[in-house]
Amino acid sequence: MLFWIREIAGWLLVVLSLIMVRLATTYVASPESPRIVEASVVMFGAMVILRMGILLIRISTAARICLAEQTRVENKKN
Amino acid sequence: MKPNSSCHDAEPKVWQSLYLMLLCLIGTCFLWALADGVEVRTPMNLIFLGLLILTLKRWTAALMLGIVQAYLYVQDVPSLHSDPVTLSVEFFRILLITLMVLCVSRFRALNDGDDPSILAPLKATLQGMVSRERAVVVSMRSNVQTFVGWMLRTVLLISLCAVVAETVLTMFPVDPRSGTTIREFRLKPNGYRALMMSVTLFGLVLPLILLAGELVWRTMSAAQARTYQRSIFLGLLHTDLRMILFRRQKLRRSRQRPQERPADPTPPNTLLMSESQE
Repeated sequence: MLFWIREIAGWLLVVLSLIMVRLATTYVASPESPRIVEASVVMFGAMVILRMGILLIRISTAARICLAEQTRVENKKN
Repeated sequence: MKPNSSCHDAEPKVWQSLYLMLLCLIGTCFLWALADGVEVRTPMNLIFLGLLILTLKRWTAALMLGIVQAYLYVQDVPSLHSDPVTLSVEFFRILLITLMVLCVSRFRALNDGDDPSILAPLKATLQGMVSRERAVVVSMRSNVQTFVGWMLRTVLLISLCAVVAETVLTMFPVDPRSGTTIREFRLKPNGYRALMMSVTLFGLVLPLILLAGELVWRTMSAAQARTYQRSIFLGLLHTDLRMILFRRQKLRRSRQRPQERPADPTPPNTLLMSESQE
């Protein structure tokens, strides 16, 4: 269950980072006054959050695979 | 405890007392530098100072840095056109905060958790000095010299960082009416078009890369998953061990390189001759 919570948290972080990328795009998209510096700051933050989210997802996936393998081995022994 | 240790060695335990004394001194300077007539700022600064001192016992550097960020966020950043006195006061304040954070962080790093209170190491050092224990006196004398040298170098480095940070902050003030703002940066039309295209493409490709990567990730074997877990946890929990492993790998590779060279079919002399002919 803990792995699933981590995976959901990871996906939430990924979604948050995508929203931030979208926000950065809107900053750049206004031709009247494109806010380039603000967009780059938001984009940097989005990349950090994306990396953290992916790390959480990958760790939880790997942990689930390890646990499934361990359970299979224990069942075979029994 | 080693009486003579360079700054590259592990810090001696007696430095904990020195950090604590320095923290008290810097904290006093900080409080003295607070009074500038704004009603809201002084209580906020006191709260910040209280939280900072609480970090001696309670929490770690991450939260301290968060507090410093919050502090810097609520500060009024002077513009580049401000008078030099305002700029130097701001610089002094940032320097003091950074030094306090440094002292708290190093104090916590040297605290092994067995001490009953924060003041225990300071009390033990002072008692040893008052009763003129030879080991304590010799250790303090040699360590104070090393500590002062190390602290001066650190203060120089922090000052340089503070000057750079202050310059950047004053270039981009929070208040848009107080000078040059980031809104005034403009791009040429062609540059803007290229930027928009790259951002749009990036926004489209990113979710696809993420989905494909995660789908492929789920097909790995149990052995691969175990290796990944070990690698990640080594990186997260034992960074020093990871550094040692990387260094050993690098050393092994550099040792293997000269051994691999004779396997080259071209003899070194021939190679040199052909290069000189070219």
